[in-house]
Amino acid sequence: MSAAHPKTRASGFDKLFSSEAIGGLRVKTGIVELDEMLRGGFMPGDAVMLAGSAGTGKTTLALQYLVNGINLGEPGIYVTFEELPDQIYRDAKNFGWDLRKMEEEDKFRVICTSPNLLLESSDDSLLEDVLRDIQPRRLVIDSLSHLEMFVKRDDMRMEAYRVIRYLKTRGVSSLLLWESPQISGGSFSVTDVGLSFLVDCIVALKPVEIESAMRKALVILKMRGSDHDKRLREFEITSAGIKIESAFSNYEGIISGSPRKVASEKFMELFRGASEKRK
Amino acid sequence: MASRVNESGWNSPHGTLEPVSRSLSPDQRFAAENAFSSVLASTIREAVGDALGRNVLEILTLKGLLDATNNSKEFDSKLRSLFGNGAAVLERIVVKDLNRKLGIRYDSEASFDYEKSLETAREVCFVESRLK
Amino acid sequence: MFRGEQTEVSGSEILSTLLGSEVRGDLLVLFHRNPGLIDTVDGVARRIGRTTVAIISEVRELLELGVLKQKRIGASEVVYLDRTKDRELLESVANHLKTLKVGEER
Repeated sequence: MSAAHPKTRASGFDKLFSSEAIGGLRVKTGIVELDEMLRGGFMPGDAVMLAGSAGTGKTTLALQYLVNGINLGEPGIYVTFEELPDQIYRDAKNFGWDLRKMEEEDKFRVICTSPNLLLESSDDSLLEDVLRDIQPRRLVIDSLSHLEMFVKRDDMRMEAYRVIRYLKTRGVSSLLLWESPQISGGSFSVTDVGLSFLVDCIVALKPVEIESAMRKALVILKMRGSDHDKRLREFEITSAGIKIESAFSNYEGIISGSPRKVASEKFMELFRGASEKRK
Repeated sequence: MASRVNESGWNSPHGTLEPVSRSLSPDQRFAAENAFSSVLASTIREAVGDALGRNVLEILTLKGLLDATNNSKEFDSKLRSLFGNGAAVLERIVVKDLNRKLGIRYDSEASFDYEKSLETAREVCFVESRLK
Repeated sequence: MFRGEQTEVSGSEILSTLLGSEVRGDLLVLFHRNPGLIDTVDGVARRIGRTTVAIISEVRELLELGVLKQKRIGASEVVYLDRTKDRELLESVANHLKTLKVGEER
């Protein structure tokens, strides 16, 4: 359990899910380094956006978040629009996560449906049924970007807000995947439909080219009501899931897409090179 | 790789038809047969398990149904003795999955022959072995 | 449009219904591999590469058997797997198969 951090501004709605209300407990991702970056984990009930381009590891991180939650006694639901659950079971098996077994134990569900069905609001909505089934504490939507196919651009923000608000009122900590073509400039606006302002936290994943090799970077762009690590950290997808490495401390310009060694590191390289020659 | 394979052979660049299996060395043939048998056995297990559940799969295993997977005639006969006309549905599921794994196009409109479908799949497997 | 009927059926009859056609086989495999699938009949048809017309009567058979259930979500009718009923039906099939001998004429 981490120490609670004072919020800069607590609305009536926020008080329902303030760290004070829930005894300062954080929603741990179970990825040790990421929880450290988040100062203990996500805030309970927060809507977290996980943004990144295709292949950056969003699904892996999302599954790991749910599986680790199950190990902490928190049932979870994975809502998918595009990928069939069959593929998700197989991908998870590669990391040693037996999702089918977790479903049999009523700790987990993969729901595959169409975005328009998720948006249907009624007393018997799909979300209502889904939450009633195993009463999850965590829920992943893969991905919110799919709503764009079914919703007018101008309505996108309103529809996303309805889903986010619904999950918040049910006390569910949501992880909303967003497929973004690029995240650059350090801007909070990772989507082009203004959703960044609706969510409480944004974690961005980005592929970076450094010294002719593709590497992966993770950064917390926003975290409402809490301090967080602001550094860009390298991460790997290992056989056990996401592993976060050290910060890219020797490089700058990674988010802008033009990484270069920092001046001090360049100087050290020259100095080392000169020393070697003298020897 | 999605390829067109004639019932009995493979269209060579010179236009003649010859079974690929004949062009393999004995060792290559053995390896290719093993590879195909393994893929076929696992595909049948998955198909039956996904259609009718793990309990049914276990019962069929105990009854020795899965001992005959390599012999398509014998397997078909055993399947029919248990499932009657439903055997053809299960065989189609097997062939669809097998074709998907081997990159062979499945035509649901065409008349279905389990034995011929497995022969086609076997030939594709042999071609892949030759290319390795 | 569809009505599920709860009548007692033998393992043999269940098997005949489940494996009554290639489309029904496809539907069975789709929902068993993806038990969390909840979609309209149109959506289901797309997922197995067929038209709505081609599958609608087959879906109706599986609804009547009870392995699939339907409900209304907003303006849409959706179908989904009834996991409990599915387990029961497959248990009956398993019990029926136990009584059969491989190789004997059915």
